[in-house]
Amino acid sequence: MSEIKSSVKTYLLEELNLPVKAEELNDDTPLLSSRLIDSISALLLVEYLEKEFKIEFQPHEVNNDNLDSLQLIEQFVQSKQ
Amino acid sequence: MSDLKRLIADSFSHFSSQIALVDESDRSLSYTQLKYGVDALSTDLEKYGAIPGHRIGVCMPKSLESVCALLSVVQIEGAYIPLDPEAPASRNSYIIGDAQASLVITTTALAPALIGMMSPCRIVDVNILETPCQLIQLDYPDSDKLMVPLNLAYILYTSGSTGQPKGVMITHQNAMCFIQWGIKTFDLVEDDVLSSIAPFHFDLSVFDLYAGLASGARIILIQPSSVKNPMILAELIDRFKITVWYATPTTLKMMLRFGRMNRYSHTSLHSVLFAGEVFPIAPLNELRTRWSQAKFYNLYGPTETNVCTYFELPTEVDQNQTHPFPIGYPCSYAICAIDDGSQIHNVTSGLEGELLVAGESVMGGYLNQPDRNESALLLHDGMRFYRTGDIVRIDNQLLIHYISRKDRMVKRHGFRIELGEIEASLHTEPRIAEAGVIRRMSGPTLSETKIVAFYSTNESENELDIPYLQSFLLTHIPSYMLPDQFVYLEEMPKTSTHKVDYTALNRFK
Repeated sequence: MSEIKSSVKTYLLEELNLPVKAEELNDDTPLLSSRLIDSISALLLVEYLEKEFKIEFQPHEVNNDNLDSLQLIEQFVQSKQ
Repeated sequence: MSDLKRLIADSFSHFSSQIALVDESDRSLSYTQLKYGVDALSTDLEKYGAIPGHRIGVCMPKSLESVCALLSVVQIEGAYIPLDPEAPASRNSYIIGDAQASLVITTTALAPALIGMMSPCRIVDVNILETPCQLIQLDYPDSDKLMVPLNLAYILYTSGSTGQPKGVMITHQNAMCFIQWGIKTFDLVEDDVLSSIAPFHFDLSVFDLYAGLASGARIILIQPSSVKNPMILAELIDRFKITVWYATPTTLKMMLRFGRMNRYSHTSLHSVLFAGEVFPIAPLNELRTRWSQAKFYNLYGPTETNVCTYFELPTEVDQNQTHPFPIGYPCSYAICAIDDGSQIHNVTSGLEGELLVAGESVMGGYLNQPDRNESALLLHDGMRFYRTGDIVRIDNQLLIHYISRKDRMVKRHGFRIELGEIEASLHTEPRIAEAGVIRRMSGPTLSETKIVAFYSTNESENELDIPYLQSFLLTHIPSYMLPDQFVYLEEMPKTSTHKVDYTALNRFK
């Protein structure tokens, strides 16, 4: 697992306390569409990503297309760096 | 203005070239363009059998087209039933059947799921503002029942404790008194720009739409996905120079926490209205600092009474204050009384008991629910009072303070949720033996409502998967009613009368 995905995974499990076991959280596990992450946690995740990877989300970029899996999050972060 | 039909007709003629509606993609309609759309759809509704008094469902995402659909039903003197396009089709088809709708106006995307759940029906294609949409024509055998002895404007369905939603019948008079009061109280004029945040199946939306149209203002239609994104909301106020912002306190709190408010001036706002939840003390001073030019109002009113009390929030508040703001004084058309358990009193200082509301804004009744009407509506002193179920206290300035609920209804993000409806839905899963759903207060100030569902399973079954339980429930109830937590119990605690012991459930961690 890449560095980005691995740190996001740690954040999701340890800080947001997602109700899922580490081995069940894969690159393509749906996060928002499956309701593993609720809307407030999604906003906390955005704050974390901005701080950790020194990127900035535009308001319309906070959506399932960019946040629904570790894979999509990594793609989005890389596109912004 | 006597009814909503007259209201929209007057607006179409007075404000013809002004902009009436704008969506987030900057699509807009002038009052005249809106009138053309409403005229065209009204003709289609009549062509396909709609007559005055018919009930007509509207199941569409929030859009210029959906406003056109609602107003067309008003124009042909029907009563509309706004349906949540995101709710399970089974729930919407239950509502359509309960209301005995003769037509449902919907989109080509939503029609198949609705049709699949309904009795024989026919589909016809229509254009609303040049967008292809569909009408579902329904035949109910008791067509004489379609006419009700009320001047019905619309029916709003709210969560029902026995497992099915119940229809609150709102008459033109009910809606008009509240709308006219709002225009006067908040000084609405044609230069105003109103946010339309609440979905149309939620009673908060009535104010934005009709008070906006009646004053010739511009109404900004905000998508449900944006309502969940405070960064977008904060941006929209400046982008559209919104002057009147009407939302739940939760939405405001989320904007303060995540909306990056420092980036915006928000100087256009003059009135900020809250409703749907108890207003928390903590964020008010910060809001006051950011939006110093605006007045802040707390509005209170169940769907059954429309807004019936209001309170202008003070310019400054002691941060150490722990009790919430009052729900206020009765609006000019509302008469309040208190049932203290022994008798019904006029509002006098020191009283505590259930708030009763009478006056022009009180609903016509629940549709098809004679027993419920009997328990919820009470004749007293020649007036018809609605029992709100809210326990209140009257202070020495005759301000009304909310204390608690009398029953098992909770409010979360402004939505009314009957815990019994969630339990009834869980009971339809054959493996579940018992279900008990409670509200738990959480968050640093214990001000956030969390819904916790406890369940036990039949012998030979074990704990059920949480994602499965969530998706199962979402075939019965809308997502805003979904529990935050599911707890499996080998055995459900029971009282001595063999009912679910909620006190024991409250003690579970």
